[in-house]
Amino acid sequence: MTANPARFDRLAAWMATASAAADLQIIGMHKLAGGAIQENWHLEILANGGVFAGTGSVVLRTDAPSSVGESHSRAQEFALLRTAHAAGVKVATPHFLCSDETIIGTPFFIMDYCSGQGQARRITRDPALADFGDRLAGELGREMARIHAVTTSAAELSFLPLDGDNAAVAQLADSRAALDGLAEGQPVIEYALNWLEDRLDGWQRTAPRRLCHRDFRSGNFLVEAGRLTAVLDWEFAGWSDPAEDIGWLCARCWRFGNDDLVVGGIAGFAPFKQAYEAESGTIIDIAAVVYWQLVAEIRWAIIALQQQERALFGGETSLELALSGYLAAEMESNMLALISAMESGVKEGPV
Amino acid sequence: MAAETSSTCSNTAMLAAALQIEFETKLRADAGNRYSAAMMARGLMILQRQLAGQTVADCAAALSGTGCATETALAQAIRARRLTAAQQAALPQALAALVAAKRALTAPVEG
Repeated sequence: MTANPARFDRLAAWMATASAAADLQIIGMHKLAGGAIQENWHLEILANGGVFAGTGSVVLRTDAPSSVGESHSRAQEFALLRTAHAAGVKVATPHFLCSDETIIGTPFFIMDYCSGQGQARRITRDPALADFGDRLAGELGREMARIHAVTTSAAELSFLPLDGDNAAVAQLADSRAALDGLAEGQPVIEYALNWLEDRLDGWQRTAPRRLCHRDFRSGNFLVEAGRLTAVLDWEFAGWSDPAEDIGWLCARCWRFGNDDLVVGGIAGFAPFKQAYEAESGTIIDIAAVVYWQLVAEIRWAIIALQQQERALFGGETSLELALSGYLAAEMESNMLALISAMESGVKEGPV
Repeated sequence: MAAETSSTCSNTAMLAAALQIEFETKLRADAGNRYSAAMMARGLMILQRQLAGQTVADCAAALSGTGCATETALAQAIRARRLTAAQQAALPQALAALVAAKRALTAPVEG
């Protein structure tokens, strides 16, 4: 173990019991990069019998010191991971959930370790991107369609709220409630919300909501040798309009400088669309996706401002969090550009 | 503008404290930590630009045509749809100027 070993003193014994091993040792441990909201620890284990018999790698996922308001608990995220895994989505196989806070101090779960590059900037700046980008975008389309195949009848996800409003109306209300929780008013975001509200008929839908990842973007999936290996970070998942996920993935704020490659800075829209539609059997509503792109900029701006307030008022003196709020102006610029583009009649695809 | 100015000052002070901690705990011991170094460089750049004081003036100028003295007041007026037709017509330009002023804090150095 390399950090805070005392916190994990009881972990090996708990894992041995949970995995039905006669004995289990943690022979190496390090905290994985990223994770302002959650912590991920890579564990090298040696197990005598049970689920993990032999040597292997698993990941322990637990809470960071504090989290943003809309993220799920680890128990809920574990249920989401199990549901996605059962639906055939490429995710790390979930194994065990521990809600007992006496083990490491916070709830956690154990899942398989998946190899691959997760850092969006490295993926979008890979010199081989031109060779694998279209194929990867197709894989993203297929995986997203599999997520959207999960309906509100999924028993293990009964904890996810499903109020009477449709996803678009609910999003406007959620965004305004989040703004009310910030210390200062945000006129650009308020303007964008009013603009969306005035055009609800253009993007709200009466179709039943589906499971949406709600943070499906470059940086939240792993890529190895140009292939998708796992979809990560299910802490914001919920019932929504599938167009929300597509709009989020295609939002300019997640292209990392590759502005012409609308699918996460990886590829154009065509390979994603083709794969998504083939897997889901539905046609993507382009107009709705563009509106949800604007919602994406709003959501990310609000999250960035919330993260900054964690540093300002939440007792977390973190440079990463402190800098987050300064990103909001970039998203606000994108909001104004999107509104201008939509008022000019953009119809052919995400912009 | 008093509330906005006060908030800007507290933001700056907090950022300076965070920078110092980041430097002492990460970079001084590990000069190869490029991610932390990049964050520190960005934070310092923002601090320097913010302390130069132009952002507050530019934001105030952007707000001047809206009839609202602060961003919070403008946000409330937009939410409540209390802007007059003339204010509403001028709003996109005012918001664009406001965003431009804030982006000037964080825009990469040209060249």
